[in-house]
Amino acid sequence: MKKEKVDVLVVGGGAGGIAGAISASRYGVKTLLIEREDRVGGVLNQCIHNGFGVLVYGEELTGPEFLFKLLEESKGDFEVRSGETVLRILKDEKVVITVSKRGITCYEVGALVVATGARERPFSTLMIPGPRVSGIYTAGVVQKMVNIYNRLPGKKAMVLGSGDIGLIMARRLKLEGVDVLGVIEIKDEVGGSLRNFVQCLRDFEIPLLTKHTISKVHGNGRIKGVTVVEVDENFKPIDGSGKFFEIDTLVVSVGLIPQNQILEGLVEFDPINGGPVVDDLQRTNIEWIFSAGNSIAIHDLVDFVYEEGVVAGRNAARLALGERLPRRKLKLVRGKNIGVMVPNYLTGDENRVKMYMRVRKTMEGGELRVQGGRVRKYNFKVRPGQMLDVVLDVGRLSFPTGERIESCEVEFHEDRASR
Amino acid sequence: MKLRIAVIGAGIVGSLISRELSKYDLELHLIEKNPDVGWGTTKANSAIIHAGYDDPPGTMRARFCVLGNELYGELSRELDFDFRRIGSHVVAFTEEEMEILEDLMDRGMKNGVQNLRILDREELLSMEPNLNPSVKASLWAPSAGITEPWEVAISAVENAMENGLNLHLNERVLEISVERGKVRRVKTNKGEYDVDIVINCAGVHADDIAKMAGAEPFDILPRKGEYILLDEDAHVVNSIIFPTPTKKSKGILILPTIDGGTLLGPTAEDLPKSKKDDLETTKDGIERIKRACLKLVPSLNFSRVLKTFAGMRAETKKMDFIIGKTKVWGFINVAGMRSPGLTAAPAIAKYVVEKIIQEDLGVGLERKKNFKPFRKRIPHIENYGLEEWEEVVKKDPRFGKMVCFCNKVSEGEIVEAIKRGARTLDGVKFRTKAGFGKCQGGFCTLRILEIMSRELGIPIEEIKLNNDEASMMNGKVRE
Amino acid sequence: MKTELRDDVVEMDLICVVCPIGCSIKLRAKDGKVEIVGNRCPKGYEYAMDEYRDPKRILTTNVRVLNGDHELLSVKTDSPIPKRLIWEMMRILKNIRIEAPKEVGEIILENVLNTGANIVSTRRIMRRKS
Repeated sequence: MKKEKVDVLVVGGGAGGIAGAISASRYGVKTLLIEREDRVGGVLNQCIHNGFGVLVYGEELTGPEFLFKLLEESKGDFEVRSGETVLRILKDEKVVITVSKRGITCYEVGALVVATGARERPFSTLMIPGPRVSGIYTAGVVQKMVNIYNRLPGKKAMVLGSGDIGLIMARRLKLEGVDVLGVIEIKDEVGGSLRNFVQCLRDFEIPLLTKHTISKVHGNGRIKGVTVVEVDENFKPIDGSGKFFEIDTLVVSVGLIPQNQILEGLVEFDPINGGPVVDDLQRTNIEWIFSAGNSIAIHDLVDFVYEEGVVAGRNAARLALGERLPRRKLKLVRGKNIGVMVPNYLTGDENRVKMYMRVRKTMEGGELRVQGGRVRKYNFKVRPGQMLDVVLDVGRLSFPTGERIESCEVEFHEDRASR
Repeated sequence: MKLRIAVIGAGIVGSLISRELSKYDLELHLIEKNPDVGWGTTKANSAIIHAGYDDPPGTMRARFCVLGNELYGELSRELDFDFRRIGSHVVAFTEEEMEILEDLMDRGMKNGVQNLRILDREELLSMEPNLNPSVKASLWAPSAGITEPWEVAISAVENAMENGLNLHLNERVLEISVERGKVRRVKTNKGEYDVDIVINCAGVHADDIAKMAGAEPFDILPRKGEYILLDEDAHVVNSIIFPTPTKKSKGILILPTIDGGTLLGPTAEDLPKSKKDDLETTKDGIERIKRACLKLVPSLNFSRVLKTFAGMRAETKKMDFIIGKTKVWGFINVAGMRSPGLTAAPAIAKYVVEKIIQEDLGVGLERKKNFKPFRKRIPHIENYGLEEWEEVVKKDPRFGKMVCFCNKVSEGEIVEAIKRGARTLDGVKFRTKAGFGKCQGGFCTLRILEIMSRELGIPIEEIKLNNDEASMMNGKVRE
Repeated sequence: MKTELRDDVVEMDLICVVCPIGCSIKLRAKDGKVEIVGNRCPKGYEYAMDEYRDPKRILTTNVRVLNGDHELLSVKTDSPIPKRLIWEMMRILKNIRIEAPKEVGEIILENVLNTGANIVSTRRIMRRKS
């Protein structure tokens, strides 16, 4: 078993982890990034469509191009070890134990950045009746199969779920010669961005079946078809509305879930975000553990993940250098209409803090308010599927004077008149 | 000439009988229609090693359940599979149900079940705090346990193969020839076997096999059971929870699985014989499980559902096992393996070999001098200390490269599973638990297929999930 | 595309995607005269006009690469091309094979279908070590 000392250990070689490693190594600290797959990049490797990097690099790039630019930024300032998986984190000893082809390694770290991304919700969790058949894949798996493995999943497909990944894969499959019969969405509006709706579905004449879901899977060995039903406002199937579609492939895009099992039992979690509670330093409640990106909450743009990674890496490096980082002072509390929200606490360390949020249900325009004061006005429809990013002017907030942490409400005040 | 025995069906019963027979000097064949061992009822049941109070005294069920339960401890050590006695409660909500508990206790004692106790509400709730507070009492059976049924079958077959068993997968029995009242030949879709003894362990199809041999006919009544599986984050119960049973079945249960999940089910739906292979989950079945389990644990949270599945049980009119020789000399039935088939299997195996073959048929068997009783499971990191695993990785670095991250299954284990006979994705999954975690194969499936393609030297798109129709891919994107 | 043609009148129902507001724009064209309503800014007007005259899109896909560390090379058009040419473009790209190595930004095909756009590599592919 090897023992190694590292100033900043970054777990996860996706956008967040690489950004974190770049950021940390700028402080001259010994930075190591470990990645469980054979290559770094995470999903960037398989997202060959464009839409990445508008904020970070000012241009619309494809996933692989964004990754390339990221790695160019690093100039080899940190070491990367791939094919290495975290087994355990020892909280008091500040040790991270991993396994790889090289064996077991115990890293003594100054600070840890966890950027382990998200996983897809499996189809089986939906409990849709039918036999166990092949030919049902989550969208990410089909994407990797097509773009990396050079294989098609089948000949005739439908997509369940109209989030961005589902829309993108509907287009990808159609472009590659698969017959795409439609995208099924249980809500009454498309889940992903309007741009993707236009450029993936409308452009390719792929029908969007809103207010529909699958009531039954058919097949023997491989999937042979699905029964699609209409649903009412309570998402309950309407009797007699069932329609059979003959398909041999079902692409499932029903949600992403933050992945952070290495932090379970160690740090405080936010049940609405699905990931660790973090402050504006991207720090969890364990002073040497930081996190960034989709492992905290699901973000819409890779640019947001990058931004968080930069913050996490920077502060991990500062801690590793022995700096005493400020403590939490303001607790951000979800008020009206706020769902996912990052971060959860403010330290007051920076004057401008980037916040990422989702509304709980579609808002017909309104105002985002923090501590009662307006931060941003929205004169258009705001949907939960569309993450809001705002820059908070921390100087405008009132901070507690004593040792106590005070609460500070974040709310989205709906106001149709503003449209 | 050596005695030739063919066992039809590599489920839990056929596998354990094969293992028992491999202790003797004879020519042994195990014929299985599926691509792998244990893919019938064995793959989809409650995985319980029952205590044995539920079976009417005097039945074969009663006899073999208690004997089988006792054998599981040593068997799990010899064959290196997971088995844990976590105990079971039959819970009563009414006075009537409490009387049934007394009956069961009585029955259990007659059957030889040890340490049965009736617990009052207070003690029950202290052991199982999530139970419905309106429970009144329970029958506590500490000898009940849980295991992984297909692992038991696989480990038994691996051990038997090391001791000379010939395993024939993807092979379906078409004809059984009988001459002068004796069984002579078994014909399959792949070949013919001259035999002296045929042991019918064909599960839900045992009646069809018996018919082929011209033995006394019986009917297997297929009974489908649907299940809901919750993931490892749902901590619901500590032991097996039964409702008070009905005449027909033990009811819908809640129990921990051996790898930390929670199993809810089964339902009990009697199907016509034409639907023996119908393994579809239904809206009705799922609703039924939810209702029944919410009664047992009102705080049950379905947000942790991992998946649903269905299994088929082989019921008979007399609701007991059909074990014994038949009018066709050499043709032996081991059929109707309804609950507690899994529990009874090790005891049945001994019975078939010792009583039926040697006594009833008068066939003398000679024990092998060099029988190897121990089988080792595929090395897995969670069963080793860190220093020990370091040694495993040193010998073969592929054990250090994780493929299934949810369950920490390494490339070395995938390769070993293929070495031990996995030729389908399910074959790899069931032997290693790769793909059975929270992401349900989202991250590892493609990589497993890639490894299989490499190890087996076949194109990746030819690998199936399980049977021949279950293709995973359809051609290249770019040639 | 929700487009209707009736009595030489073209009517289009568009969702502008230039900014998150997503204005619902209605375009009506008759005898060469175009009427656009619903946009809240000039960019929306331009978007609607482009969508009517000759909608353009960036195409991203893969081409087959030989002797590389991957079987596929992800590519894109380096500027938007007319939507109507997408399928023909895909036909061309499905049938070409290129050799590794390739750098990000390297031109694979120049001025495809006379659009002025090039097909460029978006991934770095190394030569496979035999």
